[in-house]
Amino acid sequence: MAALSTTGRPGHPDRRRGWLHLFWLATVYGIPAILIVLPLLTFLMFGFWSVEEGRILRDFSFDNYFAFAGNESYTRVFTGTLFLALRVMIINVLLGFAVAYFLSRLEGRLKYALVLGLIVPLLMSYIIKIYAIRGILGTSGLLNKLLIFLGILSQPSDLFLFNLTAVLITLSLALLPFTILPIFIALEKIPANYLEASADLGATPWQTFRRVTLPMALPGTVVGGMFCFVLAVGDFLAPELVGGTRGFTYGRLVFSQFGMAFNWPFGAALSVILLIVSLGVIVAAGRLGSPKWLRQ
Amino acid sequence: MNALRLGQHAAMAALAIVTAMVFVALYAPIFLVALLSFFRLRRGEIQWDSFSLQWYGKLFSNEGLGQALANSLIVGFASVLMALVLATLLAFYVNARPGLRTTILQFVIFLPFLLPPIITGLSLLVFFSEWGVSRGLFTVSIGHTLFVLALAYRTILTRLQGLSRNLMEASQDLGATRWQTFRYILLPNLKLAVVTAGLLAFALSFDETMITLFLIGDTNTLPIRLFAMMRAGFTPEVNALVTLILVFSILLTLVIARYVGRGAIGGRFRL
Amino acid sequence: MAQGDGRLQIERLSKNYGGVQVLDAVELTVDDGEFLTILGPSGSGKTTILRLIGGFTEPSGGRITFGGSDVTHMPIYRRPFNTVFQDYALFPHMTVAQNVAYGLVVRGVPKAEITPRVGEALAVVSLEGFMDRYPTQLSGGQRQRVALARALICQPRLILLDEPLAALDAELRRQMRAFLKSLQRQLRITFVFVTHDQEEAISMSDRICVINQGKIEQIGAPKEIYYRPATPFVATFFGDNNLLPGHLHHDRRDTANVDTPFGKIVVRDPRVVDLPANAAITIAVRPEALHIVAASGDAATHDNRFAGQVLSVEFVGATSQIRVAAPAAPDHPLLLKVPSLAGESAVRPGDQVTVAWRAQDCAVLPATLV
Repeated sequence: MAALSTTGRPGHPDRRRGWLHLFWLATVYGIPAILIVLPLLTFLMFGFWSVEEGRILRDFSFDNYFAFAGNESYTRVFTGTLFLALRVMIINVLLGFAVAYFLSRLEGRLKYALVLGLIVPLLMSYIIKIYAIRGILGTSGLLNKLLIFLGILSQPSDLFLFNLTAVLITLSLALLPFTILPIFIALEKIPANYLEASADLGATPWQTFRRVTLPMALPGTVVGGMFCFVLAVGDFLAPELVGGTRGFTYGRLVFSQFGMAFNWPFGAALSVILLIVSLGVIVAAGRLGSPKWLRQ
Repeated sequence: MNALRLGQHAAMAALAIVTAMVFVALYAPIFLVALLSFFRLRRGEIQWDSFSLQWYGKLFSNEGLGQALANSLIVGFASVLMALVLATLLAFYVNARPGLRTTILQFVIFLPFLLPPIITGLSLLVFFSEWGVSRGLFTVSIGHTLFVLALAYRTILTRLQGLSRNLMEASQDLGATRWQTFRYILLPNLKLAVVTAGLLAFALSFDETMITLFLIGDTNTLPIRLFAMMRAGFTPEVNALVTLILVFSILLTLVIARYVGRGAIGGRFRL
Repeated sequence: MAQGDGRLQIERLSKNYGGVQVLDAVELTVDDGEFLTILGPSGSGKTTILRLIGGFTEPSGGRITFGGSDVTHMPIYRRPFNTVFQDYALFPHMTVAQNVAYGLVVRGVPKAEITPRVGEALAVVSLEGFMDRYPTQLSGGQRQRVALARALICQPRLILLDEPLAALDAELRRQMRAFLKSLQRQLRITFVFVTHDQEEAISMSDRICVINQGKIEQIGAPKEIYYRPATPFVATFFGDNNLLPGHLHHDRRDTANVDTPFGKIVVRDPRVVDLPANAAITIAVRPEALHIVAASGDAATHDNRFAGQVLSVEFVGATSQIRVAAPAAPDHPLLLKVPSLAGESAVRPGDQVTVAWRAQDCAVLPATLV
């Protein structure tokens, strides 16, 4: 009690605050440094080592990177995966923008219900989503049935399972909520009177959309696209479950180095390449996602 | 003029159709799975007269599953607790000291959330094996803590920044110590943000598969167990388990939405 | 659209939101080149009128014509009006120059023509050096001038201003008032200005339209509104007024005797001619029109006088407010405003004084007090 009432006393409380402060600093900087930065650095180092007869050889060399660049089957998987992720991103940004825009125009209970309906799949287990989607992709699956019903196909196609198309469909569907939500939030943040001001100055609805809505929603759209690309490019669960042997992706290549192939240094080198691509996309998105006008 | 209005209506109608299709595509697979946990499938046709709960019954006799669920809960609670403490400390620090150093710190915290999970998982795997830490629930909990940290941190920081500085100054002006200000002013105001962050973090941890796969060693969490079962194929037992987890996910989402309230989910959205 | 006539005509305009009547059959005409202020308390419907003219809201009934042609259902972007929004609504992702150019760009004006016109518009509001700034980098007053330049650049016939000065501090507000008025005179554009600030309305407008609870109370020149209020609401909304209930007795053409709790009061107001004898009316007298005179003063300059007791004296700066009650009407104490002078005030509570005023300072309101 006495200590509480004499807060102004110099020396003692300050010293205690000093220790606390030090502890605080140590936690705040120490834990991210040890558990995020250090592992990434370790793993960067691993990429320069090699493996011989099941033992890790700690000699610095670029051999893993040369091995990757020199092997066409690796580089083909790499570029194939980049294009796959790019296609997933484009599909999802287009679809996502359409859905987000429509939802942002709605009002009241319907809007609330539909947005909640988007958050449910967002928080749903990722592998469960993949599993469920796989269920509709087979030759006797719902997708084939629908396409035959609509007269687009005359007989069931095996085009939708155990190949890259299956991976594309699965990733697009599984990642779509991650794309829609940031775009929707960006659209919701545009005050109605900007749109009114635009119309007042003579802009047609289409001009208002193109010159006000679209640029103002761009930061959120970039973030949505980034989430989609980064998650797609590094994913190995969806290709593993719906890709079969023909749907081989870079993520599976990395994963196999830590499983069956058991070549950790090579796997680490492959992931470093993935890390560089992802960081590049994240930084680029960070730039695009915070244009000058958004900063104070 | 009328042509223009007509065009607008047509555009909105087209968007409505796209949205409806997206919702069907998002939900149809899930409903199918739920359906197939009760009914049998023969040559691609659902046998409507084959209703049965036998697959749910089988789940309860599956002992590995109970252990996996227990492990998932342990990891979930442990990582949520660690992430919340760390996120709160970080949020207070960044809020008090904006600048280049904290900007870099923020970027680092966000890495495990933004990077492909495979990279986070692998880097921790390599790191732990270098230091001789054996894989198990402990390493998985660390991985999950880092994965959910960014979201928890962001949720708490946003609330903290939203609090008026006047509030703190008023409290100190009335004679409260720093601790009293924290206890009586900050904490009650942050409670909602911390609970929201905790629920979100738990949901993420409970479903996390990719990082876990690298750090789990030879035990199981629920998603890992599921992954193993799914690789074997599309079985009614998996369907039953998936349906149960889905119901749980939906309930959790509704609780979060309820807790965060319409203020955040309905009307104007802010995250 | 007719070329010469830029008259805005509002006929029986109504608006209800979910059963609540926000505007009730409003009739209003704004002449070409006029500065008209719509004045009312918050929730009176004044912003609704503006939003209906601008096309942001659809009316529930009535018609709006401009230069003779019906614009009631014309889309916003076709209307030859521009708006200065209350919080300016400057596009945050565009520079000052891009904001100002916007109206020309969306109309497909060639680039070579846009640049000099943006320069001119910004010169009008003295912001030539700010072209490449973003709105977040401007002060409140600068933003407001950008909003003005942006509204002016399409050379609209009419500009709608929605409380554009509300967000500025007092000094800036005073400067902007003078600036807006001179700009309007110089460009000869019709201004429809919405505000809740009566001082703003009086100092800038050609005519003021006072609105309350969705109905127009009075339209007229500032002096007319001030000295000849039509309703008790107008009489009290514009500064202080003493309201006295009474019954009319016609005497000469514009002069009449009124029976009030104070006894007989002589009033001179041209409006009494239209009123029937013995009509129940209200007299409004401004506090500054009342004077304290010597008990045996000059009766010729003051048509009305009565003796009373000072209840209170309150110093409020430039003036002092004195309340005086007459023995005949203790429920109707009169308020006086007299210039404050240094030293002790001339009267003290409890003093017996004589209050006097002229007949022409009495406004006759053809309505009873509620």
